[in-house]
Amino acid sequence: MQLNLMNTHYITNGLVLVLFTIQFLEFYFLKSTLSDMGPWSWTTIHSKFECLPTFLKKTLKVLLKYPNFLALLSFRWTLTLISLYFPFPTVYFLILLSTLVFLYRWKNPFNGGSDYMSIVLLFGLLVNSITVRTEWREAGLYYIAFHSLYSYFKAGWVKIVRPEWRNGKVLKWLVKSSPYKHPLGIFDFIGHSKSAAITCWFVIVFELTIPFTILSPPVLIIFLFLGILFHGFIVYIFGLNRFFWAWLATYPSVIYTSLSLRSLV
Amino acid sequence: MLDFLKVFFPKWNFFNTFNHLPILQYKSSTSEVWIDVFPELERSELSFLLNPSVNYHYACSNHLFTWLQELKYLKEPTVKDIEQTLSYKITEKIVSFELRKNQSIERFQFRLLLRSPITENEDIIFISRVIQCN
Repeated sequence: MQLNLMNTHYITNGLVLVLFTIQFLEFYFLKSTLSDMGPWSWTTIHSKFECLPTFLKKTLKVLLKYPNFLALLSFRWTLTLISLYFPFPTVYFLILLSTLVFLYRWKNPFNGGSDYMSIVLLFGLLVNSITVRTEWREAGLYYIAFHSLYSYFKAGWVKIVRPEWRNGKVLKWLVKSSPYKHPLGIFDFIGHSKSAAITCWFVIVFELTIPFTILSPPVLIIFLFLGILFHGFIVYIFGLNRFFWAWLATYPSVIYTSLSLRSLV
Repeated sequence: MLDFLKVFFPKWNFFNTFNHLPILQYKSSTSEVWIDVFPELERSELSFLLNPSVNYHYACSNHLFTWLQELKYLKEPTVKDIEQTLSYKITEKIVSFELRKNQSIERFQFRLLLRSPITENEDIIFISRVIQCN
């Protein structure tokens, strides 16, 4: 299957739907934490919104109070499903707006990298839907591709300048900071300085070089496959499942961007 | 407005600091033993798709990091000053919430400490007064 503007948009949209389905179900299972008996009840957190104008405060109170918050999440999920069949700017704008409201409720706790990548994906899809001019529509996918590749490069850069990453000693910190119990084999592996260092350098080289593979689609595909394995490994060690799906959702745009660059040559 | 626009250009900072980890512990008023509020979790086959308990763990951990930062910037606070902060209230509620799930504890204390994942050294940052579990 050749990737074109339309099917890239559609596949990305589908993967965003998977991501939001996961998020919605997880919050549903955690709904007691958002209820009035939970740590992040509206009655506890509402004071941090006191600085806002009254109209906004009242609106947020309606949207973010339990159980309305769950309704907001299901509204967002429904809109994402609708966007698969009706990819209109208004739909994407409403999804983006509800996501921003949702993230504003948490600010720090639940907002991780996958939430920020969700914003990038939604904004890219919005731009892609907003005009009939191909160049402007492509800009939305290029924006997603840029952030996907930049996130890897930035992570790689941060690692290569840190001696703990270069000598592999950081792996012990990382594995022990995970919320999971780990099989003893992992500690034997990371305790061995050579294998730890090799693993770290493999990650560093992968992250620093992946942006350049965009110049060669076949090489890019190999690297994206390695990316899937990398994120899978992250899920195994740290349980960060949403990262897997959020970054996977950027891959169609990365491939499309690479093919577009290739066609210019 | 600038903060709003920054959302569209994330910084992508991952694993760029290797500090001690904030740990929340509790003890009942009838015991001297401090216990981790969040024990190690078991993996599930579904974790690729659904992992609510781990994401909740990270949410609490992120909250503790935020609270730590706030405590750093408070100038010689009293316990009462700390108890007035939103972060303290959320932390107290986290502990109560966890204890209500599995324990029949009536009164408890909690403490925030920093633990090195490598050396297991611990520094106690804050100890609460005795609290009634709601």
